[in-house]
Amino acid sequence: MKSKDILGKFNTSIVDLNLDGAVEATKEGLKLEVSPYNLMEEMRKASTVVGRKWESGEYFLAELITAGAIMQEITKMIEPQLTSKEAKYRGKVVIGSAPGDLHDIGKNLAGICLIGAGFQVVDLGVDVPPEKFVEAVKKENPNIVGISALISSTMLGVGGVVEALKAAGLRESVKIIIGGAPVTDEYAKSVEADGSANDAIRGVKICERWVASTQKIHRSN
Amino acid sequence: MSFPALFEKEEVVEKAPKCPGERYTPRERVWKILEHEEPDRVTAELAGCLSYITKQAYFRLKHYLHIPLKFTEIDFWPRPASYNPWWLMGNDEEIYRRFRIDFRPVGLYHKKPFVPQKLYPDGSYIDEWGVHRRAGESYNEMIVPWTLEHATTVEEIVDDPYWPDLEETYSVDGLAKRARMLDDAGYAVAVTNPNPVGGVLESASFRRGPHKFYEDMYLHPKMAEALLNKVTELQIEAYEMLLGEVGDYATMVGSGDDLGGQTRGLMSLDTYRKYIKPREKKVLDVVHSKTGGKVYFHSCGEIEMYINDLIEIGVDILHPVQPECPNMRLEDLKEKYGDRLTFCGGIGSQHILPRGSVSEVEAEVKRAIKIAAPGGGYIVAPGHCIQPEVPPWNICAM
Repeated sequence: MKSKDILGKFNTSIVDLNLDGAVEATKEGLKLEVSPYNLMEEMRKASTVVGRKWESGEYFLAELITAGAIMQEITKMIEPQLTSKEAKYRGKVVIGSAPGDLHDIGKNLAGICLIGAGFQVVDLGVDVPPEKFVEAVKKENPNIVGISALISSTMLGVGGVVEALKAAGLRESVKIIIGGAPVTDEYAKSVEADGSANDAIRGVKICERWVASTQKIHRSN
Repeated sequence: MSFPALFEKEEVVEKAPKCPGERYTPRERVWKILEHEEPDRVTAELAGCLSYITKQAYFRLKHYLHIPLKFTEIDFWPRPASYNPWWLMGNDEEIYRRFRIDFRPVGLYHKKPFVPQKLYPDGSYIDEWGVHRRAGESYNEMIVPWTLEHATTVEEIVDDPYWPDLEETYSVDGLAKRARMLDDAGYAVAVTNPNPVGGVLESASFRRGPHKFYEDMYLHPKMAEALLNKVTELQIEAYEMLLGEVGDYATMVGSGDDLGGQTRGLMSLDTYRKYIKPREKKVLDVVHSKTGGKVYFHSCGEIEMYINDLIEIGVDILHPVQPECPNMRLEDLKEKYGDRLTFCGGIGSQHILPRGSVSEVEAEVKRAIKIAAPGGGYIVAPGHCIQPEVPPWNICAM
């Protein structure tokens, strides 16, 4: 099979939620020495198509999660093959659920979609106190901090994270996006976050726009 | 220790009062509404019967109303949510009467004070339905690791040791008597969902982990089916246990499954119809066979796309009708489904109830009543659980 056909099969398998097809295409591609970087780029294109299917209402959460699972699986196969020069991410995002919030479904989905879109993601988990966000920003030097809050009571904790980043002198070094069901742009403004998203796809698009306008480039560690 | 023995004296249920201007008993009123006829006044459900109020909001409400706490409210044993700082099962009778709530709850209760199946060093635990939980600052939640997330075979799912032994865990002693007393007193008996996790989708998701379960439906269908079949079987067993005692007295029976996200359903209609709908139908067929009461179905979020299917499988009342979701406006749903469904809820609980003024809350309730109450088929209730930060004066305004 030619590499163009393999990339086509690779892309279609992801979009059509065919795990076996995606894994097979990845193996064939690596065997035929298709550039791992090209495979990652193709995955990002497929991820965009999945995003469009979500926006059009064809795909739902179940499909996004499945696509994410497939992309995670093939990323594990491809990443070790990338040279340090090639392992260039579009940006780095630190994500976590708001203080007191034990939900992780939305956060996990956002993380998967960000990886699919070419970001490096550092996941702090659930119920993340403000000081842990601060510590992660100091250590990881991300472009973006993403805070997930599924319910209105934990959404109130987001302001504390923003304040902690300000107090640590880190606020200007990152963009902050808050995600979750009750979150609105108005609320994001009120806590001085930079943006908000009710769904992962919209959140990824916002992150893509932000990194396109900055100079921070992250390479794999 | 049995349920009645908890109290010093035999429980007495006083006849439901008829306030000036009222023509019907609470049960008669609710039945009129459920049969899509206009009664003498609108009915309301505060929480504790069908919808939910957090402990924090409930305790602040009591404080605001100068109603003392009862010892049974500090730990809610013998109710199913005894370990749970989030849900409250059954409010103080004084609150029900103050707000003229027509419903009174009846549900399964724990045989003994809740003891988790497993307790972890970090304070998290596995509950009686095999779900891993931890109490957060605001509420109790299902968390990782999911108890079936590492299963790789159908056998591991079916033979998992954390499936509940319902007869060991729950009791029905005294329930028939209590339900009869409430019914005789003229109340609308609301039988609560015997599964504290929710429905078949939620029960499966929170054992396997939502991500893994959704993946299974596409990538490992036999695993998804095995898990769904198991939770369906347990759900049916729980309803049979409960309705065998109280089915004759029920005005409505609680059920539910969270099918919606904030802006759309969680899965396509095809996926829902393949995996979830037939099993939900199986459960509700059993419910309908055991009671003449109506089936009340709770599902958060944007679920308009599933409503026709829900009606088809026997749902009579829909809760909470979250107005913040794009296609869940009461006016639209009333027009489209109002002849076949009763709506319970529709009062915004993501923004108006927690952060609105008293006059905004009042205006919202009046708006909902104006839209949905004509011709019956509407129960005033919050558009979801009353969260900890909802001020008591807003609850009173509602």
